Amino acid sequence: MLFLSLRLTKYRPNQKERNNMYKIGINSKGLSVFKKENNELVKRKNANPFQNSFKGKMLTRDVFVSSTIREHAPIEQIRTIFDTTLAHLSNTKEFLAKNSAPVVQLFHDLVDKTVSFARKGREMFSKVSKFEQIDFKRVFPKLARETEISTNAHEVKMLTQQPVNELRNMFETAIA
Amino acid sequence: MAKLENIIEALYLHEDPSAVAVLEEVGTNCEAEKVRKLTARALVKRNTYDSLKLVISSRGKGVNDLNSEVAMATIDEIIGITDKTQIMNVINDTINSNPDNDIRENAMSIRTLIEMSA
Repeated sequence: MLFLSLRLTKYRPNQKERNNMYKIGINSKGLSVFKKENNELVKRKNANPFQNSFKGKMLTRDVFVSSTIREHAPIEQIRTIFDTTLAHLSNTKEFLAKNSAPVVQLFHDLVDKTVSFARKGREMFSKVSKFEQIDFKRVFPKLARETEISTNAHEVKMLTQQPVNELRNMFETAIA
Repeated sequence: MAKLENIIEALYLHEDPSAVAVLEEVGTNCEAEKVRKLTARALVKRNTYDSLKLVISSRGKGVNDLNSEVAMATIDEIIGITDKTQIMNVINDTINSNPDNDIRENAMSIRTLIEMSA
């Protein structure tokens, strides 16, 4: 509608048309319904048909947006923000994929070392368990003998405090 | 009643030197192999010249016992001694002055074992 009105206001019949109008009996005064505008304003409007003045301020953007779009503007903004965030995330993911290879390798190395250490510890524990099954008393008879003596240390200490003659009698009694 | 092992152990640890005589008269002359073996070990562990001379230089006692188990147990105990000064003195004296040839040969064998195990 606006474009049509602009086209109408812009329309100005030339001399030939005027002559024809006179011929057909149209009074040129009848065209005075069209508002006269100065040339500067017409030129400015022709330069940009969507550039309009609104209370003295120039509107440089297309403000003629449908009401449905205007209602969904926050959703659009959220969608834009969401898209931007997704783009950032994808960029971050790519960045990590490119630059985090050494870190990932280090992590894998640490895991491998931990696993190998645990395996060594388990093997060592199994060896020690087998080693503990050896009968030390059989391998080292001295150790066994000393262990037996140490179990009777209190009684031996009490016997050493007695006279030798007393021990001799006890010895002969034990043998008999 | 005290155990036999504890009595022999007490005689080996006793401060009275006459304890060696008790071990010799009662222990080494006993018919039971176990008692002779324990007595020989106790005499070696006492680690005095008199006690060691009994198991090295006396016929039928210590390393010269007719029972091989008693003799081997005595040798095992001799090898296990930390301070071998007294035992080497006894062995050298036995080799030099003992009239019994078997006892001297046994003493020489024990000296060789001690030198090899050192």
